[in-house]
Amino acid sequence: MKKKHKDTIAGLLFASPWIIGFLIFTLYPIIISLYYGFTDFSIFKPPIFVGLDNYKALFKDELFIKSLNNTLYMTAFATPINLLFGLGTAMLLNMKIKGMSFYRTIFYIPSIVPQVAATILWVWILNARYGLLNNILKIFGIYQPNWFQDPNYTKPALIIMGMWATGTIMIIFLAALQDIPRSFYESADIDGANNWNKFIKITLPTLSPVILYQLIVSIIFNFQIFTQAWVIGEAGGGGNAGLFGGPENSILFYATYIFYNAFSYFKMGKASAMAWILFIITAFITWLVFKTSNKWVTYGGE
Amino acid sequence: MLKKFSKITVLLLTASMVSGLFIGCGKAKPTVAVVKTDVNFWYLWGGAEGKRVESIISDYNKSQKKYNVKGLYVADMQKVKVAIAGGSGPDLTDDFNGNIASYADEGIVEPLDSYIKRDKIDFKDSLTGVMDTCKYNNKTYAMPGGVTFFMLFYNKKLLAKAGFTAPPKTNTELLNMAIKTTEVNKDKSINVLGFPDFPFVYYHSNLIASFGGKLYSPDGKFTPDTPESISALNLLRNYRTKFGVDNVLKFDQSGKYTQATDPFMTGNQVFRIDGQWLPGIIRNDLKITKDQLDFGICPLPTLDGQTATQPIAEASSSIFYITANGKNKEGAWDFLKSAVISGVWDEKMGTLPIKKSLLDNKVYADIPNFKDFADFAKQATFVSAPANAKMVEINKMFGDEAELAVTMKKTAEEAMKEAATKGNTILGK
Repeated sequence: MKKKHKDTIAGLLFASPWIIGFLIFTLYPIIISLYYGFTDFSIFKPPIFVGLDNYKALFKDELFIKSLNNTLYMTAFATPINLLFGLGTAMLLNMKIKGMSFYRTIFYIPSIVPQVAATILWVWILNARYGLLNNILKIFGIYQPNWFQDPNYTKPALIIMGMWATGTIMIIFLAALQDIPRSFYESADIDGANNWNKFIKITLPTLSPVILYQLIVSIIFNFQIFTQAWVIGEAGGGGNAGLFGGPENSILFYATYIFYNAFSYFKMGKASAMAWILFIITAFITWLVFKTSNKWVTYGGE
Repeated sequence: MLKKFSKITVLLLTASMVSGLFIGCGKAKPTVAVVKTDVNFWYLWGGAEGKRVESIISDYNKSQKKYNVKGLYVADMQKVKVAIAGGSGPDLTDDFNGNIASYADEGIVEPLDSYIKRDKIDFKDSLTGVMDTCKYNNKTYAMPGGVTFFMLFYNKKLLAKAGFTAPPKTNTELLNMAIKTTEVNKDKSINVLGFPDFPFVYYHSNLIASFGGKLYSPDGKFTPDTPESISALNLLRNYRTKFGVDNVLKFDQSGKYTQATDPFMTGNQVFRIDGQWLPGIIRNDLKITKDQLDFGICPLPTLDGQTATQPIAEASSSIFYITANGKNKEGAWDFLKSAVISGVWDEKMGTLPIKKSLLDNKVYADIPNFKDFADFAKQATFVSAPANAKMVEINKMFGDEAELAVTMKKTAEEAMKEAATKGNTILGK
């Protein structure tokens, strides 16, 4: 008993640097931000309790609704597109051909390029007049959109940018694909299954736990999209450069609007309220995904 | 005997100690080192400009014995604000005049009227209207570091090519010249942009001012729906309708502001609304010669039928403010007086001075096209929107509505009426 007690104390002491850091820099800010969400707080003066005023004001705020819609759009479209692209790339890179390690490196490298640098690069690739993509579209006689000035194309531009950096998704899928026992496919071959049947009946069910993980991580990532939208707003060139949110606020995302409320408008209370609303929405969607996962996720041994 | 001897010894020792003290006092004065008190000055300028800031600081430190200004380049304004909030911010820092009202409302800025009155500083020599950029609710909260306003740049060669010998004076002349100087490719994409559409962010409010309009009424209401504001938007709408919104926007995307790809620098833009820094960037930074780009500068056009005798321009400025929780406000004020109010800052940084008497200073002789801006400043009246704590929010909303007007999603009248309603809701009026 005494030894167990001593071991517990020793364990806690070893873990204490992390515990203290967690309490001060993570848990405390989380709890205090919940309180700030009910206050009028600018960081320069003490907070004044205002009850639900921040939450009421948010639901009347056009830019809040716009930022939420934009973020939900990205989550709804970018998530499945990136997962499909990541999985497709992983399957291609799972083939047994010469030089495969080189190809895997090439496909992975974009995901380690810093987001800011990658975004500045893509601002030029997607330039309406001189960009590489529009020049390719021109060769095929396809309409060349004004990617960063036309509000209908700004989010699709971001989705294209996101597809380029799916290296992390790809590598996780690749590892999972390599874990699928070959005997499953051999049995399927004996039974006369074609590639599509093998993909639907073997690959997808076996990958389903990994897909679940990737889905949740991607949803959370897309709910927090910030860097690309910020850099495009600052580096996007003429037009409305200097006005955040892009053309008609089409790339005003939730996280960017939180930032502006906090540091440009000095509305820390409103920003805190927004952060908690985001947490509730993300938690709800994550719960929904977990709830439905019983129907489509099969774990090993089932 | 021994007792008597001890008594004498003690007396003698005491006497020698006491006399030693007096000797010490009489012989040499005690030396007290003069210690300068520190003044923390955080500034936004980096690179070559940052070096000039440090040179100003160094000269000031050498010129007096009371204060030691310590400069620190802090590019991130959020960092400055958070530091001030946490009590570890600077004594003096710089910002843009549009922010001063919200800072004053938050109580982070030291009012300067008592310092001005105490040291008997007058601003009679200041350019008309410039000191208003630092006031809020009739109190002075900052000092301007140079004045910024915009003029119309034009490409002389492209203008002459279209048969024009002089730049436009009115909105109608500008539109006419812009249309005639625009060059379009076979696929209707624009090769040379006639209109000062790029960068759009400098366009609207500056034209409103030159048209004689105001964005705020005397009672502080937001009034973007004036005829002048609507005329400025319709001018741009008319141009974009002629050549296609999509084509103009694609052109706007083709270059990066003040970089080598900037359409004015590449000779692909005829008219441009910009500030006094542009000639320096063209000639000194990008090394574009007169043969490559010969440009002129003139005042922004007025509205047809206007009979104003004095040109009007919207002014803004970089400002310096003393933080309310700064530890050395007197030191910060002394530096402001010596380096900024005196005009030394403007001389060394090459910014347009706020003092009329300094506009002809020889130090500006090497700055490209400085004279164009100085000559205009001598005769102009400068206006600025009265500071309010919601300015950042209002400017964002105003820009959004103006964008809808110039992309034809709304008429200019609809957009500006909506902007007025929303702006006054934000202001609580």
